[in-house]
Amino acid sequence: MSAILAIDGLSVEFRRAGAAIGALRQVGLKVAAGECVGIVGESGSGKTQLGMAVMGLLPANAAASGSIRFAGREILAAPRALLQSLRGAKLAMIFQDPQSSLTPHLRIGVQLAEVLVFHRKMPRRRAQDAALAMLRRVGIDDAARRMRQYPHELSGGMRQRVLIGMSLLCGPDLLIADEPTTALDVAVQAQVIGLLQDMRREFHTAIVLISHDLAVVAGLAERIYVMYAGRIVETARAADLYRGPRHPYTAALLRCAPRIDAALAPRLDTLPGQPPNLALPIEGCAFAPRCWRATERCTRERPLLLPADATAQAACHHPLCA
Amino acid sequence: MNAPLLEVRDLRVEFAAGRHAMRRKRFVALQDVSFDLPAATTVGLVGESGCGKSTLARAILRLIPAAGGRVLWRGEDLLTLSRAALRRRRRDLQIVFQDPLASLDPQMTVGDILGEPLEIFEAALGARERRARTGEMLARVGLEPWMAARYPHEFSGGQCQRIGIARAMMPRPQLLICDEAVSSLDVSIQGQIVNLLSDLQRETGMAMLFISHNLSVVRHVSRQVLVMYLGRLVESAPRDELFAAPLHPFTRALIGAVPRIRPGAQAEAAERLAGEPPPLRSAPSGCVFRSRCAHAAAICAAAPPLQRAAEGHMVACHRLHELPPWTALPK
Repeated sequence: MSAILAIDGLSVEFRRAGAAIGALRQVGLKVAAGECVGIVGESGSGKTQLGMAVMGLLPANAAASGSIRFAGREILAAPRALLQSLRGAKLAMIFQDPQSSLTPHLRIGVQLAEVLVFHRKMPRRRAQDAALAMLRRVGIDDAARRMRQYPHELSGGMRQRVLIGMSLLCGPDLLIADEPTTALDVAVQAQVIGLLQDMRREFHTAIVLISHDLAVVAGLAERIYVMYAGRIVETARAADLYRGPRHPYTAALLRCAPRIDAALAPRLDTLPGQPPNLALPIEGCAFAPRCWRATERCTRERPLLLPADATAQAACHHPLCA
Repeated sequence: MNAPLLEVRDLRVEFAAGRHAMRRKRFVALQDVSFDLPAATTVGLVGESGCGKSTLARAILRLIPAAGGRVLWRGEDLLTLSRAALRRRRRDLQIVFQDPLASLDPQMTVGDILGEPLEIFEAALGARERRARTGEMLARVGLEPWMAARYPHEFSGGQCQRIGIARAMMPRPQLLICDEAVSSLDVSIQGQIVNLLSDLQRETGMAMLFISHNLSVVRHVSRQVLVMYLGRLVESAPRDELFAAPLHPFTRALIGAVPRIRPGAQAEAAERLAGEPPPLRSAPSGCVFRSRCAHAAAICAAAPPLQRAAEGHMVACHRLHELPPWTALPK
């Protein structure tokens, strides 16, 4: 299978008030055509910046280096015109807050049709028909009426459905979904994950699903990358990762979150401390100060992301279940 | 059994909606909400966003007016207290909010934020004594006493939530309401805060009303769980019973929809809840859940009473005895 997305040695630094914040550090990642890959990490781990870098949407104070190849073509620092022709057509992204991703003063139908008018040069009437069909396809009831409504007249779940539909209008090769269900209630969250699943089957779109919640990613992704402090610390097939995490951070993430189907203990497992300040230099393993397996070596020497078996990699001097 | 610390009886809250004062329509945000909260106990409250969870918290504290019912605190109705008496009573009932930074005054130092409840409720205390109590409390919630001189924006989200908890604990309350208190925190921090709350409860014997949309966290902390839908309690049961044998179709759908970590364990068979709750102002008559319920029948056009299904287990469903047995989800 050829990779639709191949990221290599990607680093992103933000300059703010004289300080340089290393948001992404030498990140590498591959997504095969039609594959669903999960990216998991806590706030500040760099998972959103990774999505923004692929979309070419990093803010002006960000300096990126490395390589992002999309369908074999380098898109990091590509000319604006190229990115603009890709975004929304071949390359789409949906965000956590569907309200702020829609233009508040334009009707839903106009916003959807615009995508086809712009990218496909479709006559507006035909674009409207295609938009209506897509709304029905993503499970919006009474789609004809919804086409005439404004974003604020729709519920959060419906807005996210609209955005998923909008992102799929041009049949993109890659959809980046950044916390698409975090703002939604659990029942609606299950609906949206189910919809992404169906859409992926139908349109053969590769999906990068970004979430802080391992359980949400579990429902969809075949492979998972775990991020901590701007680096990928572990990657494995989803089933393997859940069964036997290698990096202590992954193990802690799995253990810390209370589970509805796990045995109850009097106390929740916790991870002491908090993630490092990315504006300060990090020596050795960034996770070492919170890690129960850390040794003197971990504070001195940064572990490289090395193959653990044919499909898994971990960046740890003392991995679990070797 | 001891008399409950807090008894909420038929609590009703109404809101008015509409742009024009004359044409405003009133709608019911909370209807017939009744439950008990014994001392040293945690009661969990779950439901979708907009169902009235926070409204209930605010109505209990009289931060918003109630349209009917009673809120009995050790037998005394908070809803009829005079302003002055209410203010004195409030030291016993404290609340922690979801957004830790937004609920702390950015212009006050952490020391002033924690000292303020003491100035109000223990005015006789000297400045030195107040500082000592503030420092003790900071240490108790896992921060350092010297942090009293800092401002809220200098802290991380998890630390701000510790400050929010410390402030609530300063007047030594007997009831702590946690309104989505861990919902905006990362999982590794969430557990720290949940454990802190459990420890504080064990040390002080305070009761907690733990409001969250996160069923897994509620399952972990609660002894009794209340399930709310569109402003009505639809089910109330002891924790283990609620999660092992939920009765109300809404509770079942809610539990079935929680994502499972084991790949493939997501319950395809679980009753998938379609659509989203209608807005409160257009809640269906009769059973409010009937517009989304797979088991709705003609009888559901009448409001179902909350009836006893087992010891401590109440459920508001006409079809209770016709529902299929609950099949536990794959482990």
